[in-house]
Amino acid sequence: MSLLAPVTVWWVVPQRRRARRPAAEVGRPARVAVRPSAPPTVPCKGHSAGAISSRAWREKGCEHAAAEHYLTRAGRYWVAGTTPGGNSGDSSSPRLVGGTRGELYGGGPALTALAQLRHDYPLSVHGVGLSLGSATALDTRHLARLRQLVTRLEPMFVSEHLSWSVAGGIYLNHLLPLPYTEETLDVVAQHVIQTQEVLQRRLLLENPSSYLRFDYSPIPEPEFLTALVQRTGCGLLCDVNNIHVSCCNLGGDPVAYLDALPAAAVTEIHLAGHAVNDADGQTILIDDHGTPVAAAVWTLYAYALARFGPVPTLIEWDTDIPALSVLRDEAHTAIQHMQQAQEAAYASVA
Amino acid sequence: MPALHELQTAFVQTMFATEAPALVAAVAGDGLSPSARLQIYRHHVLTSLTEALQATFPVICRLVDVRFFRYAADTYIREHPPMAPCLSEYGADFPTFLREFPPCRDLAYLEDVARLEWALNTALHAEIRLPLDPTRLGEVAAEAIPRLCFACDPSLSYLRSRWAIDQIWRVHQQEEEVASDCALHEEDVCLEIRRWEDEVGFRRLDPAVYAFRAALAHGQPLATAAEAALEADAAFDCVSALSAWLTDGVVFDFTVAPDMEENNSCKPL
Repeated sequence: MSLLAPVTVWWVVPQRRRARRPAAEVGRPARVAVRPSAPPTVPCKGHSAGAISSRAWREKGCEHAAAEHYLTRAGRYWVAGTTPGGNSGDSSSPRLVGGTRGELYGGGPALTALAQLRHDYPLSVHGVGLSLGSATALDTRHLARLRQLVTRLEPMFVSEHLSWSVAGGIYLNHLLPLPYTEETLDVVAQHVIQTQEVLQRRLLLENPSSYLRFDYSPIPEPEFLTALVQRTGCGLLCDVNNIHVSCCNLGGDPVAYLDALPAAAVTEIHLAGHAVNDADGQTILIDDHGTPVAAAVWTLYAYALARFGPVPTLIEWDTDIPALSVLRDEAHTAIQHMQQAQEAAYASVA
Repeated sequence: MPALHELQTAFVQTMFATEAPALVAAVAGDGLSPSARLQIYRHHVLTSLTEALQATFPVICRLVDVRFFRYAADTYIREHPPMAPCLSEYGADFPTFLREFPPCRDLAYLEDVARLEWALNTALHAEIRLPLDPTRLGEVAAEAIPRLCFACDPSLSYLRSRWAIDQIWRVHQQEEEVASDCALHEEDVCLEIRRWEDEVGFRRLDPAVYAFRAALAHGQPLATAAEAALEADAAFDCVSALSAWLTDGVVFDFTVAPDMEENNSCKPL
């Protein structure tokens, strides 16, 4: 058989459209993670893939890491960041770790590229679609896809949110608020246990940013999270910006909130910027991940580090992506806070 | 206080339709009305889904203007809310919606342009399969060749339109608004859409080649595909077409349909 060269012309979707941002922005990261020397947590059950990658990570002796990877529009298109810093074990230079948000389940080039990045960087997989707080059963098909993804990527952490997004088969594409009742506690605990059994590893649960609370919600949010840790063995992803946003929007003391969290369970921290909006004359903070971390949130972060220790931290920035240098500065500020916390901890021991 | 399930059902209703009184009653005011607080969530739900549709259908958005697109998307989202957790799977029936949406029913080409954009979106997210090793076809007996059926790259799809949707798409890739150099007249446009490496694209096919490849892609046996092509063009060169089909990297597996005179369908792959 002879080869027949195609005589027709292929029209290709331009990369600039697929990236959905100016070409000059390509390669700029959105989410920066800072990885301190604290050892990663060991998954809750068995010898999972996650345990292997965590150990490998520790053996490299790397002290810091910063995320240089992002996915726009829930993973539709991806842009990789700077090249690996090498595996020299130089503990003084920050290394890079991936942070991913969203839809990599179908496959395609984004997943292939991320799997390649995984060779050089540890990843933290952050889910938004499980809807752990839904009264109805978890979507087992979605859970199976998550397991497939986690098996393939062997991330350092897997996290989800204390929220819900689906009812009656309809998905709302938002992290929606829950009433903190005994009924909700049973629902979320059962779903966290189910997820951990399917993934064969510990899940980290993130506190949400809230714009309303329910009249009947007798359990305070940090106590609710504490109860979930006790019942399921899950860890916590403490989003310091979310605590600030929720306390401003609903009333509450962010320091008391941090004090009420079980320190040993806090395994990862998120930082982000928020928008300040006016709603009918009342200030409402919106967790939009589109600006630098606010001063009040840095202060709260320093307090969180003093209480939880130098926990791996991710800066979320996924709208209005800034120049790389802006993000590096943010990461640098986080590293400085972390070093100060570490020095204070050493001083107290000495 | 309603049970969690009732509360969440009322929440969904409030986001996409009318405010559920039971939900409003369950929300604490804290200095801002419960309705205003629910509006913050509704705003995010609707705008984020609109942005998702805009990202999947950028040419439609340019064709009808972003303001009309948002209006159409708002109606679509309320009538067809997402039924799956993956955003990339949202919008499959948006082309049909556009055909039936009264304010743009006169734009006859809109549905097909939307189908092209949806096919590109699907191709981008399709699972990657390794192409077939062509030497494996050596094991097929000569008399069984007409009964060959193929399993194809999941990114591959075929689209036929009576409008020049490929030209419309291309004209709207340019950054600036350009005077339309795309004359709108009816013609038979046959497109093949697929992904290779990390590129997604499409090309126009000759109607006979289209008939041949679309039939193969739908799992029809080689003989049936050849008949369809010859019907479109009596001079169709089956050998060259098969060669091109096999060297394009779109086939990852094959089966041989049972040898039955009446039954041309293939076993499931």
